[in-house]
Amino acid sequence: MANTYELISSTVATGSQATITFSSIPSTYTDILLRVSARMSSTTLDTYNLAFNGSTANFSYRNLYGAGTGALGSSTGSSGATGINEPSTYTANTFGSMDLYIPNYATSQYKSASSIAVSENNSTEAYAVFTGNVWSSTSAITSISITSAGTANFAQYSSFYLYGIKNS
Amino acid sequence: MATATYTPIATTTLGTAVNNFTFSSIPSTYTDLRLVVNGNVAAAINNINARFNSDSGSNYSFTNVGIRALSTTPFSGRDSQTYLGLCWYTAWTSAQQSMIIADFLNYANTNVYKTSISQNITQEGDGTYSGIENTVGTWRSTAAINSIYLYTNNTNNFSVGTTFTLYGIKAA
Repeated sequence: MANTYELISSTVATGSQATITFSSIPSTYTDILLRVSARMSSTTLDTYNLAFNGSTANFSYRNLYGAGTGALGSSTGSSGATGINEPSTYTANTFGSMDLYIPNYATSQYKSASSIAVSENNSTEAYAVFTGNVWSSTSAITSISITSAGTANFAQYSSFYLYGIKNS
Repeated sequence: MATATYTPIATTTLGTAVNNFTFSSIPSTYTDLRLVVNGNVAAAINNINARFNSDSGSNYSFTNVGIRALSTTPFSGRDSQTYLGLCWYTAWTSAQQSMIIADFLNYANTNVYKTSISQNITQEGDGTYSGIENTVGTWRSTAAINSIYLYTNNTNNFSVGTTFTLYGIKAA
């Protein structure tokens, strides 16, 4: 059978989860892709925040973003900030999207990650955010957790799909 | 059975440092190609460029947007060159892992020029050229892409452990 994206695991939020975790990620793939379609229960516009293997340590990020009006912006820092969420004040029944790609997630090198995220809003404000992350650990990634806006819950029907991609 | 999407065409993990790498004999049976490069360069500040089918003529142009450590102001630029700049305003260094994800759309369609869209993530390690860079590019040729030549502009070597992977993606 031809190689393809192979679904490792998926979660659809019930509305009572502030953290989505994929654990026991097998090391048998080459790269992994986390595909998110989500909305928050809170009004706070914020990035998503990553933890690998249960830790938020040893991350850095740099992003580039546009909001549809004004100049492009950028931020950088020592955290697993990535993408952009979809606050509850944005257009009803609408979910933001993010693809987070992590090549060579199971090797003994430091891990790079790239995300493209958009928030969807029928208004003058809607964000597109490109983010580069690095996780300065030589450990294979065995779990990924994602949160946003402090302790805010992901809205019901937010979906999270983790795919494995093999290079042979 | 689900339709195949990403199918690995070729992959290499460098056991010896080299300053260029070529994917050759790329089959024309896919719709799009995805290139994933992950690693670093052994020394100095390096742009990463691509050429198709050994074409070193002035047949490439690209536009990029991004941010680099030098400034808090995002950059945008465009160039016409003898190569496609996949990492042009940012640069790979030896300090941290960097990555390029590049999609070459309709690469085997002999009726159209070839377009690409790519992301380059260069991790912190240089206070000027680290950053993120997104690029759209054109190779002004209707030939099907059958080879991709990747190289550093300063002839410094990709480090041992750097990976080069090419996937084919079918539309149906």
